Amino acid sequence: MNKKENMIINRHNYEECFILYWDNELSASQKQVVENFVKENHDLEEEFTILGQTRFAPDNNIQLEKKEFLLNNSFINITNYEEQLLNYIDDEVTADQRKEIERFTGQYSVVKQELALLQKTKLQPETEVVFSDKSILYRREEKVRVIRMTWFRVAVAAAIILIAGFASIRLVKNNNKGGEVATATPKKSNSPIDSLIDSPINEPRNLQHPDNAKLKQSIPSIQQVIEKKNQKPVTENKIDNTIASYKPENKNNLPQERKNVNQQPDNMNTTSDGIIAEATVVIKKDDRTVETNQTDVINTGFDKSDVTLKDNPTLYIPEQEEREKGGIKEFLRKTTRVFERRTRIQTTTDDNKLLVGAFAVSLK
Amino acid sequence: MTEREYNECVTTYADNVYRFILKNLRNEEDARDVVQTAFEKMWIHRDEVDASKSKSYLFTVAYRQMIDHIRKVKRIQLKEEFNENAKVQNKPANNLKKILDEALARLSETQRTLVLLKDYEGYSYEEIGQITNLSESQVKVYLHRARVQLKEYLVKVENVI
Repeated sequence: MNKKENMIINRHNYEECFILYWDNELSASQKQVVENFVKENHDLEEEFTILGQTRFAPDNNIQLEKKEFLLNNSFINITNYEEQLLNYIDDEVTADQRKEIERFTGQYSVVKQELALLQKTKLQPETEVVFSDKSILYRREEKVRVIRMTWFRVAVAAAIILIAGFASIRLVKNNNKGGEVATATPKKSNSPIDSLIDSPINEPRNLQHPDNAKLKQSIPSIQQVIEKKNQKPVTENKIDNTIASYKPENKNNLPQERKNVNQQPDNMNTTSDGIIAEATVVIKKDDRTVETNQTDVINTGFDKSDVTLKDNPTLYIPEQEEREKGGIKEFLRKTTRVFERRTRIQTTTDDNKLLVGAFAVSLK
Repeated sequence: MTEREYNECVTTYADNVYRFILKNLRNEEDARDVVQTAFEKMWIHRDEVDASKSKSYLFTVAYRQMIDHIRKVKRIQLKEEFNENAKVQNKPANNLKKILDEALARLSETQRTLVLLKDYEGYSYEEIGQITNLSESQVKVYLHRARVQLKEYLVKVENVI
């Protein structure tokens, strides 16, 4: 109320002063003033006493049990028990902590219920859910066999390559010698023209016959004879009546019909009346260099660009020889291709030379 | 990691990873794709993977694949916006697993992942943090929140029943 030392108390405000007195809100001098007022007014003494009895005193019999629950210094307490329970069910506590939590939980039923509820939230793996067809996940390494090239193996490999090289060279030489023998036997003919047509062109000895004069005489009429024999006239040909239009049958062991022939009639050394004076037929087998235009005109079975008329009447056709060599060449070519595909190393130089002694050693 | 160790890893962990991903994505085909991709990556990097840590590596890769998948495809079902009371009343009371599944579905992706890694695979907070690229304390906080959410859902269900 008022904290003034000179408190005035009378019959109008005594009740307030009595309450302040019992609430211990007055100073000692004020209290003395109130006590003096009660002594002076006996009729108010009872009221003063009753107001004093309305005060409550603490009940010392009421005590809080298990007060450690409230202690903040323990591992698990009122403030952190939920967190510790969560750690407990997540198995993130030590063995000692686990025991402490279990002891604590056993003491308080509220905490025990909380723990039971939290344990219900723990999921159990659904073992019935499986990844079917695991075979798509399994893998197998592709093992690469690495042969270590020791000095001994290198030496053996070099020796084998050398021997194979010498053997190949020797074989090639032998084939070159036997090339002349592998010619077809000329077919007998009644007339000299027939003998010219039917005789194999690739046999030079036939044209080296001493009777070359007969050849000169008979060539002008070759076209007519061919037309009679083959009944296949050439539709368009600038070099009519020449040997260029000659279409031999394969019975003469001539090479098969080649469509990629580059026709160059201007290069043909023909006479004004279409007669070939002297002929030397050279057939090269470099198909890759030949263009493929005008193939409908030329069907002679040999490249007319390679046909030259020289003084020498020899008819030389080396294709037969090359064809005989082809076996070995083809074998070497195939071997080279297989080697190149396997190792991815080019075994030939830019000018088409085979590198026989090439080695490739993997550093891995 | 050798070929044999890789294949053992397939035998041992393929189901676990699939289960984990399937629970998150709730789509079998997508889960299979993610698992397959995870194993594919492990096979490619097998030389760098320590066999003793293959499970952790696998879950890490699978988790990241799953997150990528979620971001890319957006096929994951949105968090259901249903009336909780109505939902609860329609559910049988005695099926705790079903209720838990519902509660799990209501969690955020991260929370769900953490709960599954903890409960299904028994990973520690630290390991979960490594897999999910979270700190250990983050894992702890998120996981505890998730657990309390699950508990509250169970309590609500029990009160209604």
